[in-house]
Amino acid sequence: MPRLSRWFVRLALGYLLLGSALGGVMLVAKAGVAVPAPVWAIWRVHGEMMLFGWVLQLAVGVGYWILPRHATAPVRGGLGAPLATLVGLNAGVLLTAAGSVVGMMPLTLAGRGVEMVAVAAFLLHAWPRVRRAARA
Amino acid sequence: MPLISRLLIRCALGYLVAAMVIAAGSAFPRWAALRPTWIHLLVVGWLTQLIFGVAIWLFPRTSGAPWGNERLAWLGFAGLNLGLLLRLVAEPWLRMEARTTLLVLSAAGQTIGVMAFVASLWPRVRGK
Repeated sequence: MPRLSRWFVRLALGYLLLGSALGGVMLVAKAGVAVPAPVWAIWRVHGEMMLFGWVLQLAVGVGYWILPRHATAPVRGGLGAPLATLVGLNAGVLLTAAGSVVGMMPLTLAGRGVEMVAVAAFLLHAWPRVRRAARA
Repeated sequence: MPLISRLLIRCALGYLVAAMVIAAGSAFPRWAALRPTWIHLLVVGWLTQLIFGVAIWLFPRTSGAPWGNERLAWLGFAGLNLGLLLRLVAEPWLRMEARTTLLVLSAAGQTIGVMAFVASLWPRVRGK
């Protein structure tokens, strides 16, 4: 597994831990136990971490690893676009989550914008690799 | 494919069917309390469980224990599924009566399940 995929997968697993811990706090709150933060704020951060931080990031990391490779070096293509995806996706998740917690819509929108750029960068990287076999 | 992966993937497929059925049912106002339940059956029962089933099978293998720490993986399987099944019962019930203990147990089961899966898979996120 290439180094960049390891970063994607480890960050995804980290978000899974955090996101599911927040989900646990929400269930406990639903059962009537007092929790230290408002549930609506936890709910938004939980959703953001589970969908974008965990599921999307894991899919991107594994995709970078297993999609068909190019015949010539660099076999997985240039590092620029996937690196931009790694940085953008994580910055986007944190910005969106922070915007939701403090109730700042511009921060949330900025986070979504950064996530969109990150996804576009991954599409640019992955599109030429989605094919039958390596070109000679 | 190891036994734990086969079980995880079969359970994931089962949750997918259950989630779709419950999703259809929750469109009726009488069963609206099931909405959060089917979303979690889909994201946790189907997606997350499928991911772990395939990852345990396909991620780079470790010498000696090719599938990683299988005890942790089994603990994850038990925690996640018991937690989800408890949630399936407790969450709609909560709307009618106060049955809080089951929901707290469900939260504990799912959280412990996820922690065990992550601990089991972490050492296999490596180069070769």
